[in-house]
Amino acid sequence: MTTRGHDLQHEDYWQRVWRRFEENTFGRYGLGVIIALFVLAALAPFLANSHALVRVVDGHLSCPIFPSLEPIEWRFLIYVPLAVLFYELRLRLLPRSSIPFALVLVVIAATELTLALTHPVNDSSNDRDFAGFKLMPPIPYSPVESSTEQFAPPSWRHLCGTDITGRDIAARMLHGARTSLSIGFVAQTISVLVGVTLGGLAGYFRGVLDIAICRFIEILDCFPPLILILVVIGLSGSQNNMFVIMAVIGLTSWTGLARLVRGEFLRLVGQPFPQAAKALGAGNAHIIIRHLLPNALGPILVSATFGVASAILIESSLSFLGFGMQAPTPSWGDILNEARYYIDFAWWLAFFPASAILITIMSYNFVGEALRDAVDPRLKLK
Amino acid sequence: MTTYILRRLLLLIPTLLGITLLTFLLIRLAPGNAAMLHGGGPNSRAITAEAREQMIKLYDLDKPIPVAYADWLGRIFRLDLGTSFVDHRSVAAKIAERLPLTVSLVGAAVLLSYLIAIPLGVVAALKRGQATDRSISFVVFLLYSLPGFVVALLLLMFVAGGDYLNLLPMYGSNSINADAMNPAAWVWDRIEHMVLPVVCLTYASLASISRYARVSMLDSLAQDFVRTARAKGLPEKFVVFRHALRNALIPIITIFTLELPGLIGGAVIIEEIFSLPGMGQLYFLALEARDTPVMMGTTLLTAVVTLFSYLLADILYVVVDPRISYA
Repeated sequence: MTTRGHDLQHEDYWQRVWRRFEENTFGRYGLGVIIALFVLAALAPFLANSHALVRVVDGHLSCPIFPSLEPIEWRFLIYVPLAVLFYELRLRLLPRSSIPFALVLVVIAATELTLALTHPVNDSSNDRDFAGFKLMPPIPYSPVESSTEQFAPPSWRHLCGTDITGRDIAARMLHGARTSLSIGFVAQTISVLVGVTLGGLAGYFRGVLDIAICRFIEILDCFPPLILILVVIGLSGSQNNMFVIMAVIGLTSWTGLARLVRGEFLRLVGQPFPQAAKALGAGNAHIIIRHLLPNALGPILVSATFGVASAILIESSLSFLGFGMQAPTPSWGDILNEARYYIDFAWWLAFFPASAILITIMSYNFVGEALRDAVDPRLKLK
Repeated sequence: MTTYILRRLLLLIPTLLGITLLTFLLIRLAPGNAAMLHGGGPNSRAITAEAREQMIKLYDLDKPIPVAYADWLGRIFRLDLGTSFVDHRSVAAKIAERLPLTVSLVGAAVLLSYLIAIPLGVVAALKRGQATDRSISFVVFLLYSLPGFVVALLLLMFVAGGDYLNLLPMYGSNSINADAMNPAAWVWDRIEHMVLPVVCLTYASLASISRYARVSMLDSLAQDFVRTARAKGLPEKFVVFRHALRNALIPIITIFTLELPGLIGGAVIIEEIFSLPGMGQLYFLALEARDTPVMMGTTLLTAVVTLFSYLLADILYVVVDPRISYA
């Protein structure tokens, strides 16, 4: 995969960034850990579930795991491979032909229709005691399933122990990874969209717009992030579903990025290439999207990576304080919150989620550092 | 200098107005409160009819936004933040009695993080690239990635109470029998109770300050005057402390103001974990009880404090560095 040994003269900007990134050991490991975490989170229902993956009843093979999947998991299972397939085959699928798009639309419509017409089976039964042939997931417990084994310390039966209602912590950790990772990622995407748009507009058009946006950023920056988020959640009075949390974190954490993009744009606008584009008759939108944005993308990416780390931190703080997701949804911060009350004996309740948060945030920070050095070696902390 | 400070103070006014406007709009446009005017709403279970009357009166929910804002602003300037829904005491008084604890907590954390971070940063810069530098950087990085509440939990588990070490008290700002103690014992008791909270609050800013200190020291060591000092044969100790460090300190002095918003947010969590009766806990309790006047009063106060700390940073910067002149 490396471009080492290739003609360095002919590598483009992103190839160079990738080569420099790969040279950073910590960055490489960080990226590996993040990818592994995403894979674990994506496969969580298949890794920790009380239903068997496969079992044989009266000579018939069945997969009891599938009826228990939530619609969002079905969407995930179908749309992600679809997107990958589409991307891989994009050149062969007759460019500009409408057939592949129609096929994709048909698949989406069929999935959505089926999901709308069927409901996930919410039975609390489990297949652990099933006598015949069965293939259980590695962790044969679901994250919301309570049992009589309260506060069991870690053992081969319960890898990370159980909590007060006998729920398996390993299963809750795996499913909690989905909460943390997706909130971190989506919240930061929202923040990048808002920050790049406002910062870009301020830096490109300057004048009154710039003053207005800068003033707004200044005002917003006076509110400590956690306080602002808590107050919005406190005032909104709605049920805290995942999307409210994502939106609130995203909409309150864009100011740093907006400042950065504004600075980059101010610097880039003065350079010859956007002026040349303008002289050739390019419109503002064209100059911003095709000329300025690609040149500012490196620093944006670096800042966004660190941003994901802080969004995950904020999400876990919120869950820890009890202002995160609704109760049955597992989240790392939520397990830690529970750990507070049994801290004097149930060390496993605190240890595992704390390590998970540490490892995730550290990996993102390592990737961020490596990216920063790769994007602009001058910024390297000597 | 005076002109500069005066100009900065004048520029403060629009931002202050902006802060109050944003706070007011947050209250006014919150879905729960809009619904409250018409009765019911998602918050209705948590709020009594009396509190509802009070909300409408306090924030003029029944008047148009500009009128209501002007009214509310007038009251804010007279430091009238309303009364709490929970115990009907004035919000300003509630804040005033809890402020000293939080100020001392945050102040101690800032002081302690400077005292540890600057030597760390300087040593890392002097041993640049060597094992010492790399291990300091790694530890700092590890600390930087560990949320304060996680550290608090781990400390509670292993140092205070529990089955392991029982060195320090777990909760509160004083022991239950503190009133009966003599002053010296009372102070010692308070210190014992504050050790863990201060440690938890310190180390996050410690990480970022020591990184700044390292970079600043490296910059300073690369300057011409350091080379000159070395060339004229000054002892290395003299070069490092008299010439390089003094100049490296200039940008670091103002850094703590940037840490302040994070520290205030951190104080909410730390005070909640250690049951310290400070501003953060007041805010948290208000949030849980949906006690809007207290919630907004504390939010507004933290924003104003942050704004003034930014101002202080800018002024300090000019004061410490005679090369910068904004007059």
